[in-house]
Amino acid sequence: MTDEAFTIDIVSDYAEVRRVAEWLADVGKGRIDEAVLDDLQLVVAEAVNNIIRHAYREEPGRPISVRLEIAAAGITLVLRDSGQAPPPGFPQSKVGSLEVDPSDLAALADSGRGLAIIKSCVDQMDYVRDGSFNELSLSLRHDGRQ
Amino acid sequence: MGGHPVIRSSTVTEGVVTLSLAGSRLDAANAAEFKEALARTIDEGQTRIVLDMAGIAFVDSSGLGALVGVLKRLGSRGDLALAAVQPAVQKALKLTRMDRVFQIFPDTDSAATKLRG
Repeated sequence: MTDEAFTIDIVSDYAEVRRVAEWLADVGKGRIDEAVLDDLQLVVAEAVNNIIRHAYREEPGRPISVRLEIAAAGITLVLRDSGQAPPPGFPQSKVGSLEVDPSDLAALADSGRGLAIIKSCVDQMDYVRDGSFNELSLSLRHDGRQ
Repeated sequence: MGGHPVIRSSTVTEGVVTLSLAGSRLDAANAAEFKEALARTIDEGQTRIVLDMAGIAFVDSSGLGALVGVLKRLGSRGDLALAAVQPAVQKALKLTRMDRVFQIFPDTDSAATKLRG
């Protein structure tokens, strides 16, 4: 059962991620543990960036909604967009590796860490295609409530 | 993007350039601009670079990717050090194993001293 839920609607522009960050800091204050909130900031930024980059192919002005649900069982971020559907097996199929070899600079990737970061920070990732919408739910079972 | 310079200040002392980043985030909104600014610095011959991260409270994978890009552009020509990294950023660096890739110092002075070697 969800005790509290908050929603913000933004458009597909990387600058909008900062507005989401401010919103999350605001609604999370006093409700969510600070360390958990740091993780959620990273998670929401990576998830919104992915939507802008992949679902909307950087087309500006398209809608994205972010919902934060706080319940006794945990915290869930639900991201919804009307962009292209991801490939089959998403999100697990697109999670890259975070392993690095510091001695091999040339092999270091400049991109592709987003989903791996999300996976490291949450307990569960669920994706559904709902009509013409993508819905990604990211849950932390850990009770990060204050 | 644009409108706000990504580098707030640049100081060259004894062959080491210390760049202070503007704003509080290095993310998808300014990562490309940051990478271009650093590419210009490197191409101008400043290849020993200290990044003062004191004001940066948040770095995402795009910001990390830009930092990796700078490191790769420098290659064996120079050195990059991160200074005064804030706890949330430190956490992101650790999560992505980037704390094993970058030289990280508590402050700009110790970073510059190391780069002067």
